Amino acid sequence: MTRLGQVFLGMILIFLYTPIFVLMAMGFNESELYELPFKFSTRWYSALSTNTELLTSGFNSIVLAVITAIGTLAALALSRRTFRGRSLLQLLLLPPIAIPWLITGTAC
Amino acid sequence: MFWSGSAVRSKRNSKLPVNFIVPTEGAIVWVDGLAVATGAPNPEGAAAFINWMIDPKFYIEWATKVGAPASANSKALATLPADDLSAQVHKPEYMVSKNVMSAMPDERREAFNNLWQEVKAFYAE
Amino acid sequence: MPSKATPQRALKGARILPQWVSTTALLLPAYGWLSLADFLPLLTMFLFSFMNKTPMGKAPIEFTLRHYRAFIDQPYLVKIAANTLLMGLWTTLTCAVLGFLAALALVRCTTGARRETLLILILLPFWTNGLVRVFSWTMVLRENGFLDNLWHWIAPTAGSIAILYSREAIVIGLVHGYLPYRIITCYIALVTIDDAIIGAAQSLGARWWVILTKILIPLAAPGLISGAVLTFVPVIGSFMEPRILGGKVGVTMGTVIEDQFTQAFNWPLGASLSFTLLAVTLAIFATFSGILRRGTGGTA
Repeated sequence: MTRLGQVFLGMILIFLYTPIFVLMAMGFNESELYELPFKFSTRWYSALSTNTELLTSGFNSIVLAVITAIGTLAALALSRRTFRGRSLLQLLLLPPIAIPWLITGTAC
Repeated sequence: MFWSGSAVRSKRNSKLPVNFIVPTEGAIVWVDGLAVATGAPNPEGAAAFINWMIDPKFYIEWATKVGAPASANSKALATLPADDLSAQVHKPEYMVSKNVMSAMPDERREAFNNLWQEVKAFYAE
Repeated sequence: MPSKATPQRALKGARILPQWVSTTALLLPAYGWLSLADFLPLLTMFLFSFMNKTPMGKAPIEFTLRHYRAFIDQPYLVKIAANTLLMGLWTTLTCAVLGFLAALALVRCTTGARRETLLILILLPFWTNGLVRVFSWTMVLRENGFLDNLWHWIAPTAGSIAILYSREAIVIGLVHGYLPYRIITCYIALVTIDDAIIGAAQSLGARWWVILTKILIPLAAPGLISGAVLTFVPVIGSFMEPRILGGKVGVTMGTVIEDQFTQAFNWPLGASLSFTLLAVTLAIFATFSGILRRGTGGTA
């Protein structure tokens, strides 16, 4: 039984990582259209290192990711405390998930 | 269905077995425009950019190396090799069947979009 | 899970302010941000959904309910909505089964450092961008892609197994996106179950399916349900996965709504469709939670 569980977990990991590894490999592929067979090249990485616009947007993304930590605080309060209006606050979390994010972005 | 520029790219750069034709029933044609907004901070720069975009020298490079839409500047279009797909877009026999897309009233645009959505939904089944 | 006694004792010693102050302090940043970045724009969109046209330019604005009649005026939308709900159901179900089994395997079949490594490996795909992950599936699933090549290497004479641009491809992409999340929620629900309960059941002669259906699933139910909600709800509004992995068949409520915003420039219709979708989702969960509450005797 233990063996079976471990094999299953291995299969899950293969499922999760196959596209990511294929993508990583394609970063080193010569063709710009992800054509196979594979031909090794570092041209895309050298293109990235000189593209300041892409690097700036990468940095902005990191800043945004750090901001999302404030969600953890609210999660602490919602799970550890009971107070009046807790269910309402929890219910309010649904619309932002349910409505396609593009719309919220457009409205901003 | 394809844009002529994408068809050029697919045929020449990616060597895909595609061709560009305009069906006898007609096709939709539209013109992308470049304009300078009133009170823009740098109108000279904008004008220089527009001139560069329609310049035959830039156009031939764009069209042959990347794959561009057919230019509205006839001088630029004349620089293309005769077998280039974009050079064929303005053929007289095509011009008669094309409908030029222009601004339309909101109601008609909404009906048009809903119909297009229905077509896509039909072919998704 | 630390024992409950320690933090409470620590709190009691240090309590100078009443508890509601700290609760508010914890909630304020997130809900403040949500008000600004989510609730306010969504309220604006709700207002837009009653307008006759996108409020831009100088044209006068009239208020109308006609966009909420879209499902009657354009009956093909009902079919799209049904397909979308089906896609959400398949994704949620696949995620539920795979996620629960993976979490169970983590809890019962791994220990210590190995389990921690596995948990990190499961979470790591989350660090890559969603669009990138969806796009990478096109390279795996398409004709002459990774899987197809692998298959031809094993069975050179067999036909292609490429399934890009199909409903299955969409579900695969969506499951890939939400599975790590589901494994973690199931894991948290399962890891808190006391081993002694299972030991007791086993010593009393309970078979594995009895343990599964009478102990593990009921005790993990809150985690399973919240995981299901957090998969189903965003999946039925998704448009990236259907568009990229579905091609021609990728027409869902998400893509229809996106079209209204990005191509048709009909924000009122797009907004009203979104709020209709939200209402349908809430109705489904209201029904669903009622059934569950009755089924588990009010514990869920």
